[in-house]
Parts: sequence; structure tokens; C-alpha cells
Amino acid sequence: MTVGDKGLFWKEEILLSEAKEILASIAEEDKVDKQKYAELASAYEILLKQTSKLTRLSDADEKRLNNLLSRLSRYVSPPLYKKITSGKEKVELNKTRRVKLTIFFSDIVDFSSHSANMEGEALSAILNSYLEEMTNIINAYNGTLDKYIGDGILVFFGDPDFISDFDHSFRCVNMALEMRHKMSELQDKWFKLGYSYPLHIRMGIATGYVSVGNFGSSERMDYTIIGNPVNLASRLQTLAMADQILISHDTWGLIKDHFFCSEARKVKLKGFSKTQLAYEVYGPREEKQDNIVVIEDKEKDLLITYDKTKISAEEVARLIKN
Amino acid sequence: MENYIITPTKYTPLIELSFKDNFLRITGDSYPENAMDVYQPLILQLEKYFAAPKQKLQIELNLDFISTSSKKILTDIITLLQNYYNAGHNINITWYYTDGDIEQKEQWEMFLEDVTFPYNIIPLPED
Repeated sequence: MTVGDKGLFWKEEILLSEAKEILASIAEEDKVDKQKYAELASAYEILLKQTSKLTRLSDADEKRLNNLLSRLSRYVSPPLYKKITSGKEKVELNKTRRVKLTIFFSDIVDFSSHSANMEGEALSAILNSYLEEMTNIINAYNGTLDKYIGDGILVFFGDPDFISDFDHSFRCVNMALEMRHKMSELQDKWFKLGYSYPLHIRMGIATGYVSVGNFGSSERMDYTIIGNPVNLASRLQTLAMADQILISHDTWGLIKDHFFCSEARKVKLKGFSKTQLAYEVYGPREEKQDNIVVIEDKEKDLLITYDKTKISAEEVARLIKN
Repeated sequence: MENYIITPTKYTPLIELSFKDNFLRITGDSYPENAMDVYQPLILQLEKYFAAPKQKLQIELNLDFISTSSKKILTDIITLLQNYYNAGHNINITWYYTDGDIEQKEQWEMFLEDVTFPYNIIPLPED
């Protein structure tokens, strides 16, 4: 018998076959051979111990695997992690899909230049606390975190979980508004960490058809998106002022009934031959009706928005006068 | 006698049994297509090794992922080593685990919980 012919449990199989032979050789009226019976019992004891140990080892392996997966999940967005571990996502290249998504880009205004004089520890503390808070918000809105690019964040909505075009654009804009709100809370925290310059976020959002799937090599791939709307969202983000959320015309078309936005602005963006329409998102519609006051005069290039629960009209007038 | 060396692959560990320097090292992952092909020749080599009386063997195990089949044979090998120890041979195992990986350390402890020969389960030194 060669090694390859032997099964993993060949010794146990021999033991079982011997036990059967002994049993067959015993006639009804015979007494059991005590010696042989003791040998069988001893072998069975070893077998039981080994089976019990292998079961416990296998359980320990499952526990270890779960812990490793949990660690690995921190490098992947929760929706994508769920898709991969459920077996729905085939980890292979050249299997991209063309789908309509809403894409979000953000960065911190002038972060690189302002952080140039900071100590590495303080810089990483600020950046990590920022990314931690923003990621919590992304997850709360079930966005797919594509990647961090320094202080920049790329998120998309509508894949792997798709409900409707309105749903992904609505969730994305809501997320952006919550991020902006969170930034004001973070100012105080960062100030205490030694960052005296007030940090501001700027955001760009676009909706449209992109290719989504695995891009890269067979050894190392990214589940990401490519396409014109990705570039558009990126360009809108670059164009945005501090604390501004700029959205594309497609996104605006989907969410305009739910958010108060500026009039369309014609913008010329790098990489786009045609003029694009961009809109600034101010806040949810309900908020506008109740609290947000807007004074806009396009001819005079005037735009004032304020929350009347936070500042009075008199105070606004006084600020303008000063 | 010639040393017994099996070079590692993506799925099988490096196996080195030195008849001259009295050590056995198994290093790497172990999830081969057929675990018997990998470990049964080693068992035969160990039988040759312990054919001489009063042999001494220092064993170093540095394993990461191990398939259930490999675990089954490893328990067979450990039982075999216990038998050789009972017969008067000098056996010692040093089994490395990834520093901080408590689950892995617990697994190696499970493998050795019934042996009476000396052993150490220690964290793998950093490179």
C-alpha cells in the first residue's frame, strides 16, 4: 500500500475491521475474549479522545477565523463586507456592472498646508478623529466607503444595496448635511488638541451611470467605481467653498423636492468640455420652511441664508452693516 | 543518514528533519490537497530516526493555518512522539504562536494537553 492509497483514518479503519472480525468469530454461546475486548476498548478510547480534540480545535479555528474577519472588515465598507462574506460577490476581475449611483467626494479645506507645521502625533490624532466621525456617519446612511485619500473621502450610494435612484441620492445628501453639522462639533475637540485653525469640509455630489466592480490585478483588487459622474463629483468638491455641498444637475433632479437648494449655477469644470450645472444644498425642505431664511438676488449677485433659530434678522443686518 | 527536507509550497509547510543535528522543524501553512502525502513520509522518517536507542529530538513548530486533515495527522504524530518518549527517547517541543493571537496559543495548548514530555508555547520573535 502506497502513502497515497491510505486514507486519513486508515488506522481507525483497520481497528473497525478487526472489531467486526472479532464480533463475527464469536458464536452465540462463546464467552467474550477479555484480552481482545480490552484492546478494542483502549483503541476506542484513543479514537474518542482524538475526535473530541479535533472538534474543539475546529471550534477554536472558527472563533479565530471570525476574529480575523472582524479585523479585516475594518478595511472594507460594511455593505461590501456583507456581500463578500455572504458569497454574493465573486472576487474576480472583468466582472463590472454599469449602474446608476450617487457619488460623494469630500476633503478638508487646505488641510495639507495648515497641517504642515503640526507634529505627526497631533496630525494623526486630528485626521483619525475626523475620519472616525465621518465614517460613523457614512455607515449610519449605509454608504459604501470606497477609500480615504489623505483627508479626502470617496463614498458611493446605490451599490451593493440598491432600492431606487431617489433613495441613494437622498441618503447621500442627508449624509453630507450631517457631516457638515458634525464638523462644527469637532472644531472644539481639535482646538483642544492644538489645532487653532478652524477646519472646514467641502463636498461634491453627482449622480449617474458608472462601472462598479473589481479593478486591479488578480492579486490585489479594489472594489471601486469609474466613470464620468465620479470625475464630476470630484470636480464639484474641488470647486466647493468651505462648508459647501455642491451637487450635480442629476442629483438635484432627484432630491429637489426634499432639500432646499440654490438656483442652478453654470460652472466650467476641468475635464468637461460642456458647461455643467451645479447647485448648493442648504438644508432639508422642512427646515427651510420653518427656520432657514434665504435672501437671493442673482442680478446683484447676492445670496444670504441664515437659520432664524440661531441668529435674528437684526443681527444679520448688523453683521452686514459692519 | 541524509537529512529529510521537504520544501514549502503555498499550501504546505517546510519540513526539515536533521538526523545529524537532532531537530525537526515544521514552518508555514498546512492545507494540502492530501495531508497523508505530506505527513505520512515524515512519520516513516521519524520511525527510522527513533530506531536508534536513546535518541534526542528538538522539535520546532511554526505553523499558521492548518487544515483539519493536517490537524488529525499532527495529533497522530504527537501521540507517536509521546510513545517514543515513553520508550526512553528525549523529546522537546517549542511551538511558536503569533504574538497577541490568543486563539492560536490556545489551539497549540490543546494539541499538547495530554503529553508528558517537555514543551514550550512561546510568541514568535519579531523579525
